[in-house]
Amino acid sequence: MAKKVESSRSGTVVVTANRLRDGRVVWYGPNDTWVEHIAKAAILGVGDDEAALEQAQTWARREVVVDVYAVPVDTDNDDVVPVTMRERVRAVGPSVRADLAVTYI
Amino acid sequence: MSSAVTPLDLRDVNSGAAVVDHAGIYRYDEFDRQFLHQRVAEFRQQAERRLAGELTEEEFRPLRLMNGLYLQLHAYMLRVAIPYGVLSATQLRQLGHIARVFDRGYGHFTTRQNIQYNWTKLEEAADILEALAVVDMHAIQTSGNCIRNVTTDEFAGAAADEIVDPRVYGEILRQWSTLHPEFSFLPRKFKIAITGSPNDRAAIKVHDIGIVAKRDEAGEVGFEVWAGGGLGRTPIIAIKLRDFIPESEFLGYMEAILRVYNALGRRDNIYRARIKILAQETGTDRFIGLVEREYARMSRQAYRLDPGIVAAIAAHFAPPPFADSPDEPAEFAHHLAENTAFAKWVGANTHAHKQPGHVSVVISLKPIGGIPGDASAAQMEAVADLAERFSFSEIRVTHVQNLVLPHVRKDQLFTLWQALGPIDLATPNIGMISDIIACPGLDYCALANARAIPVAQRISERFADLERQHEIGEIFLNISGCINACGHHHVGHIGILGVDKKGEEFYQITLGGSATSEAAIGQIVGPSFSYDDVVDAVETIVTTYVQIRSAGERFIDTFKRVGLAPFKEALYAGH
Ligand code: SF4
Repeated sequence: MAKKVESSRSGTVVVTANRLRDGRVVWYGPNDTWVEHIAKAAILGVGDDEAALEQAQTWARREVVVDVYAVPVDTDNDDVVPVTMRERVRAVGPSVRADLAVTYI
Repeated sequence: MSSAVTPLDLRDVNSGAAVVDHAGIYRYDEFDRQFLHQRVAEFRQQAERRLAGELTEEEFRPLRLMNGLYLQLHAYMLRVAIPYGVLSATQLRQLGHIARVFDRGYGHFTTRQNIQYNWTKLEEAADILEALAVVDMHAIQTSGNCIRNVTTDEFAGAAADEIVDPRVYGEILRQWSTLHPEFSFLPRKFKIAITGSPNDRAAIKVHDIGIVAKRDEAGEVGFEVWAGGGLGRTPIIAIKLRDFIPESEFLGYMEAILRVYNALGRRDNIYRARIKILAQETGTDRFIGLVEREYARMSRQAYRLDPGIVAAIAAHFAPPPFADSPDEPAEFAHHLAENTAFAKWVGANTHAHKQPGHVSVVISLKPIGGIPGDASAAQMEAVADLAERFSFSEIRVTHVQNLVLPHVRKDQLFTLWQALGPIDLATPNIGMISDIIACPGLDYCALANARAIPVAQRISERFADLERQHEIGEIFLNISGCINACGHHHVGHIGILGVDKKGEEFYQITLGGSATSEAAIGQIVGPSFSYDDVVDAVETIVTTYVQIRSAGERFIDTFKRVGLAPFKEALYAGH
């Protein structure tokens, strides 16, 4: 279940889920794909977020991902930073294991 | 991929006796093993059907949870049961192997004496369960509204103050509760803890059922029974139901409590569903009356615990073949006198044993700045080796998230200590402020409000000076990342609860909690602190205690004497 989240300054969101086969955090990317790093996620403004979320949900119905929801983010200088600590931790990995941080490939 | 463990020719270093068949670990029979393998095969099929899209997440979720597989923030988390916290060296070595092959090289020991793997994959989950089954382990009933892993005193079968070995009855409870058809869909999860010592080290009064095994004047075993305790959103100390239930009636009485709960516990509200709420809403006397009435209706004969069964199980837990050893060997005394670091470790990390010349050793999983309860694959394997060399192949997991070698000869302590140092397992801090309980919190847990681990790490670093820790003395500091209280914050002398304020982390502090025989729920000291300020707040509390304590007074005693006021004053004056 998605947690109730705060909204971002600009109302922008990204869409996230966990991948079914390994549980890994994934982000909905451009061209109807899923990517592993939040920096590659499709940034959705007010107006295009609902359609993207609906499209992303079809991947859950196809049993590729689970628990699809939108995450409010702030975007500063190309950085995509979720508004809540919970989503920041999901995006990067456990804050206490820098060695296991999600890498940008 | 499955992984085999080859039987090892294990020998005790002292006697040279084979220890592979040593009786301190309960061993499965063929029936148990067959059942486990069937269960793994069943789950393998279920997972394959899920991956093929034949089962929806809604359909699959309860099936994976029945096998201990959760979906957390970053990946699937597998919670493996360690019955009453007892492991053999072979089992711990296999847990290390699983961490190395199927996870990211480590595991996390929990306050329920279990281990959790944080990075498992659904497509490999059945392989992990297969690898566990090879060493008689599983993840069944580590989730869901059933009777969970029974927990007990980590010094069971070893402690000098023990009256009855609680492992025997922990195993009886395990056999009784595993797949119990009537109690597989309770209103909510159900946790039982048992101790066999008058000094409660199993926190029995904050469990759904808490049991003190003891003996009557004739030396017969019986049980003091408590129920309706628990932490979480509504922390409550259990109420005593019986002062002494005879051994033969043990399971019947357990059954009666569970029946009353199963019939009357609330199923309409998850936050009001635990037995503690039933007991409170019903009223203590009426609740006890309901249990007694149910018990009176039950057939004594049908539920009689056969002494033959008890004896057969007790045989599995017979004492290991201790060598005769003087209580104060000269070599031990010499090292104590010559090496202050060793003496400090012995003072903090050993516990009195019933066998002369032996002690139980607590291996701290709380190095300064480390992650409480985490152990690497290499550390697990190393501890397994050391258990074979020094402790008859036995290991225990504590609810404080440390490991124990229960039976170590005093004249071998120095060698053991020297072996633990290089693998970062010799921190002499048991019962001190850096021996922190911390749940996974927001770094891993999907239910969390705030991080717990980095707060623990920063407190540990703030008090890194072990001299200072020893001067401060005994303080139990417990941290939970949300109100579910897996980090037992309510019963910490200092408790820290992570809360969410508009998406940011804050921490509420409680003082005066205790999980011992004099169990108490901590009192909230005042408004919560930010992530940045919470470590300073802890230091202020500790400094205040040191300033006002009487000679020899522990933190909890000072708190009982002075209450919240001086701490409140120190924390909030001027705010
Ligand atoms: S206390 Fe909360 S945050 Fe911590 S492990 Fe339990 S559910 Fe997760």
